Amino acid sequence: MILVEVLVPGGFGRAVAAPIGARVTVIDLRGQQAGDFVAVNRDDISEGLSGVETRRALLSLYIKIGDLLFSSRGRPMFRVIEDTIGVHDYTVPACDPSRYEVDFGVCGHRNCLENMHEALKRHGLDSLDVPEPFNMFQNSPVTADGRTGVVDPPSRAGDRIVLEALQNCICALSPCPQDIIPGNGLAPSDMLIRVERD
Amino acid sequence: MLLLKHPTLCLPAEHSLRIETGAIMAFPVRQGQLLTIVDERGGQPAALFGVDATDSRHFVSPHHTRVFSNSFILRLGMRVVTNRRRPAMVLGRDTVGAHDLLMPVTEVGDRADCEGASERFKDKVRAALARQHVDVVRVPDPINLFLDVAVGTDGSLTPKGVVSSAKSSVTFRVVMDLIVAVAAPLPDEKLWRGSASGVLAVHVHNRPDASFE
Repeated sequence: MILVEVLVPGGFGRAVAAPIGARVTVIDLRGQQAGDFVAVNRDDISEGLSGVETRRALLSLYIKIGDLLFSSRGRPMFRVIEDTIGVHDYTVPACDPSRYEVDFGVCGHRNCLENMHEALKRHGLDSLDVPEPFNMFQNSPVTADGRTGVVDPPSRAGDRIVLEALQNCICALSPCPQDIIPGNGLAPSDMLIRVERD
Repeated sequence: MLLLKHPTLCLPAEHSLRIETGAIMAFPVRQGQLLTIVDERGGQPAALFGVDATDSRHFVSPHHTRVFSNSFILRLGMRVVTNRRRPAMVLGRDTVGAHDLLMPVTEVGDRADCEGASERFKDKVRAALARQHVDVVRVPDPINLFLDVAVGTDGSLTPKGVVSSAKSSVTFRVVMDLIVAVAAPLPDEKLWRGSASGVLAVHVHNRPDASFE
């Protein structure tokens, strides 16, 4: 049963609630689109999905089917149960106003941090409460000398990742508005987020 | 002291601190000063935090630091930047060459269950900053000096432990007025093993001083 399904326009953000046991599906509708994804515990928004805790647990920069994603309290928050591509990042912070202003000299650009905060603030989150993101479909390969960079995702239309919620969550998704450097094929596009359960 | 065309900086007095395993201390560091952290006995990591002295919502970010330089590890000459991508300090001397930008501090020891451990450590950071009259909305993630976590091209993260030996050190040139916090955390055996008798010496100084090394 679908509880909620939201088309998220490229470069904008939306939030959905996902009760414990629900499946949260993120779909790249056109391909080559990264989506910043964050979540907080609906019952205590000070607990958020955490990259550092998940890295400590998985000892990997990449996630795969069966992996648990951990919260800032070191508790499982999601399990990866389906993934059609296997290319995701959780090391790059959400783009924010300074990303565009400092790195590219562009003011007023849409950005993932404000997109997700706009979607989450009615739940009481300060912008600094927005966790570090999991960037679905983002392609951040590791080079031999421990360096990295972001290149366009290999995702194609319809690629998806499905997470099982292990806590009552509020999730936010921002199809990244980055249109200056590689990461979204220079043309942000729409994504879909669906919450369902049996 | 920075070599400015029109010097306007009047740097405060130099000072030094001693931080034993399990402790954390916060202190001001002015733009232009040098921050040296020495592992006196070897095998003790240092968790480093920095908050803009004039704006507690602006702080050093290991995540932005990685992306700013496209590097998973902190390297000599790299800028340590804030959550607004402004340079806060630069790693100017380094006798170790391995510092982590990816992991939390848990102080969980050998316990399998680390639920709440990172937050308990962050409470200590928050309290240390509060003693310097800094009230943070969010305690940032740490820069884990001397902790070596190897990054494989397959994305694997392999903890190599703490690689500093006695008198290993790093020196940063600080380029923003900061309240810095330095912790000497207890072990997290998933990432590193160690004793409970480590000591970090912290020096805030105005000229390079090789005697710290």
